[in-house]
Amino acid sequence: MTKRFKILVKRIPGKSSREEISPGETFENLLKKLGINRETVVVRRNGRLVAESEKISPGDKVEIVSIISGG
Amino acid sequence: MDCFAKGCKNGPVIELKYCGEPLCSKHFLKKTWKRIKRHTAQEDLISSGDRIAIGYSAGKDSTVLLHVLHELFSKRKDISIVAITVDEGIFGYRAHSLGLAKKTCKKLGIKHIVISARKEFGKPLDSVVRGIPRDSEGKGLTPCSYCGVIRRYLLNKAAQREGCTKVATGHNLDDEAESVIMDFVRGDVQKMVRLGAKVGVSRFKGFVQRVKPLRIIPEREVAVFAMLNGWEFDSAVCPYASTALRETVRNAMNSIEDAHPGTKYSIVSTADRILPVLRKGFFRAEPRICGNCGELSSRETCRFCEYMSEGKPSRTR
Repeated sequence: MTKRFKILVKRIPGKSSREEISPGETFENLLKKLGINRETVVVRRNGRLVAESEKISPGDKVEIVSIISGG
Repeated sequence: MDCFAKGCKNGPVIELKYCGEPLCSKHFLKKTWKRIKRHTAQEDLISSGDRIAIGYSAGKDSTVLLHVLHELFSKRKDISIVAITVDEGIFGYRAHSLGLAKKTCKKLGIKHIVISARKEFGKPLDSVVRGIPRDSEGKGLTPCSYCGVIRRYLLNKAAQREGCTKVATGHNLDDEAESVIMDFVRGDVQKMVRLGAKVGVSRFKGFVQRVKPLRIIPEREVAVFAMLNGWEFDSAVCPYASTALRETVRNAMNSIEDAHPGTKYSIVSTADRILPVLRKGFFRAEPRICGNCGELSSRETCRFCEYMSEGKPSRTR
């Protein structure tokens, strides 16, 4: 059985945190866990945009970028 | 998971849940360009002979609008473009975006105009906000109510000075869906009849018709489109934004969209189908001329002059 792993998650704007991920977990699951609505952000994996339905891999550096700006 | 496009093995950068399409960078860009072009043509937003004023704040929406219109029309001899940035006068909010707007326009070779609330009528939005009349419980209109009126007024004024025939704004699908719901929440049918891809009365001197080429693109996709194209934009959040009804509606709508993808499209397309009937059924007052500033208005004194006369006397006359 594959073990759970931790990844670095950076929120832009905001702070970074280390999150525990289960094998096969998607970015969409991660957003839900963090209480973030997917409509308000885009996700970057290792600097590149990624669809939230993709699975998270050990060692991924994840950035959650808010798209809400202006007034 | 692969890109939805036939035969494409690239990894998706975005998933369009409302139509079940995960798309790679190449196919998302292709699809988005196609949708904007088709919408602009179908709604007849830009015509031969137009001089377009682009409302350009350097935020993601107006940045996409600027680049798209530049790409589509800069080589046309019969259409010209000018970018207009409104400096409302919010302390610490515009400094970076003004510099970026200037830089981007210079790079693209687009004429750039900055119109400032402070220079035009002697007080920045911050001063106007401090003077907002409040009732005994301290309640009054939100800063956004004032800012919206001031921005539209200044954008229209700058567009007129530049001899523009259209004002293009970066309103996206989310903005439009929010506006529909907000009009319902406020019970404002008169405002609702003014929604749509093309707004305003072109037959009246003194008003430049407004068009919204990005109206069919969700906010999130506008952001991804800008990022994938490498277009630099400003991400600052207005310090007054959280006070607006729009923020409440936005949060509610994003929750519904998340649970029921396609909600935003449904709201806007339903409004579009109802609007022609609504326009016929509801009396729309013929525009009048504001007795104070001479601009078009539905009332004797326009909303802008009404707001400006609150608190300190204005220098608009």
